[in-house]
Amino acid sequence: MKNKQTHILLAVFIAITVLPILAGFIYAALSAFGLAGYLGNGFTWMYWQQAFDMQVLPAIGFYSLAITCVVLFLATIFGMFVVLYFKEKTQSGVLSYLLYLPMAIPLIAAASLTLHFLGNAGLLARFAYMLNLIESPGDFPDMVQDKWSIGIVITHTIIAAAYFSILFSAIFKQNAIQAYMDAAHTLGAGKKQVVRKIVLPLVLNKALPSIILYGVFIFGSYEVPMLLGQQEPQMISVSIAQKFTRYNLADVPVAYALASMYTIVVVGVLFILYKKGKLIHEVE
Amino acid sequence: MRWNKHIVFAFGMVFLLLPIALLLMLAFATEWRFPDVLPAAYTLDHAKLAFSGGRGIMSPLILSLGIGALVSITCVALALFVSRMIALHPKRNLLLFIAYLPFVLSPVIYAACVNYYFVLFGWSGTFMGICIAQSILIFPYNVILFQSHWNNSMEAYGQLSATLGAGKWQTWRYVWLPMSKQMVLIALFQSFIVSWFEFGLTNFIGAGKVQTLTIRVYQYIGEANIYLAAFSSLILILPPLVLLWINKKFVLRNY
Repeated sequence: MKNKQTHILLAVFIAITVLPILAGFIYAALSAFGLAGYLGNGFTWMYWQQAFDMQVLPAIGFYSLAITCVVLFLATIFGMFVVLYFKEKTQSGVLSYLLYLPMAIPLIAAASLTLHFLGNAGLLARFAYMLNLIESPGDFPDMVQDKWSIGIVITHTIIAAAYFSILFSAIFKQNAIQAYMDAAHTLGAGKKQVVRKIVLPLVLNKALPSIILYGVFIFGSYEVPMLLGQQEPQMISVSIAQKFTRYNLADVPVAYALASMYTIVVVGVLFILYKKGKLIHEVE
Repeated sequence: MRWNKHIVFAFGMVFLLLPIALLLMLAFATEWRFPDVLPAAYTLDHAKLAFSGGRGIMSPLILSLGIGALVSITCVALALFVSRMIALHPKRNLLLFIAYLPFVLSPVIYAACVNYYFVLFGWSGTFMGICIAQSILIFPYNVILFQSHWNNSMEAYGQLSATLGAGKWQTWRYVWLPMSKQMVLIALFQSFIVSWFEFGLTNFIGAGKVQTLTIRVYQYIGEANIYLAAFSSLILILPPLVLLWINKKFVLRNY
């Protein structure tokens, strides 16, 4: 009886979780090899070669990775600063609530807000005009849909920094890091030494799996780069989604090839975390 | 030094509140022309227009609420039972690794990969299709969320109840379910937020036929209708603000 229940529940889990991923990946891979879909005329490497030959993969892969690394770096610094500078205020009081605000804004609205803040006719440009720094919207430097992806980085960094502040604050509290800091101060360590040798290793070590998972999320983010990014290069989700919606059917198998590679990379990252025991914690 | 801290703190507060302030300003502005920093006047016209039907937000709002409620209730109910089975399963870690996969993948890429099957089964562009598509993200999320809930203490209560003569269903009904009430509420709230915010997957599987609130906001942005986009965004952030507050109150207190 117990076994039967277990099998039924396991079947439910597999049907909802494993089956769609597996079926989706198999179809994507088959389409990319020319074995399924509208252009499935027999096995071919052509679509995979196109993905590489056009330097699509290096462009979007490195671009997405670069954005991810910059955002994670900036957000980690901001998050650490907030926690170290405000300490207990991040755990109770107004700040502890306000830190949730950036996460309460859907990404589509966050991207739209960035347009209103940083666009050529946005709030910042209006202040610049008021201060006689610019004469027309065209004089304001491009900060959205620009070649440096400033808008994407700023939007993601604000949300990530808020999340990391909450995460670091919780780790700070849970691991009694303040006590270690006090002990180090008593033993004569300077402020910088305490941060470098105690706070950073302790907090980052605990937070690393969450930071990496957040990195995977930014790497595949869609709404923000869709509204704030340039036409070329594009982040991976935008590039793949656009290839699916274009009229050129030949783009579809290339998009499947990219989607397959993306899936392999993400599963690989997750698998490394799993193997290192950083993904799943034992419950007591 | 103390003053510096106050200034940085105040600056931080303003910085965090500014997006909401800008949304409020745009949602009720008559017009916001360059180079004015503030709108010339304020109006309720956009709010009236938004709720007037037609291209307003009333039907997307109801649809989003419906999808969110249906998906979160179904996924949480299923995940409550499945998560306990996984917590006790010898291959627990492997099953949890699998459960992580759907929600670390980009929803839009995931949608692109499974879309073929949705078209094949006639689910593409339907309410049921969106519910199924969101469930394959939200269900595994709940399975992971419930893992910390099935700890040794919960098992001990189950064993105690069995020792006292309770059957499996009695243990569920009188022990585990009452003890899970708070966790179930948190899971419902979080699942609702994930569904409420969902855009990429819903847009892809919905094929333009299922218009949730996030999709309507995107359309307003595309049409450069900044006032309706701002007003709809305000509506969009209301439930998450309430839910995040509740979430913080219950979840992170014990983190």
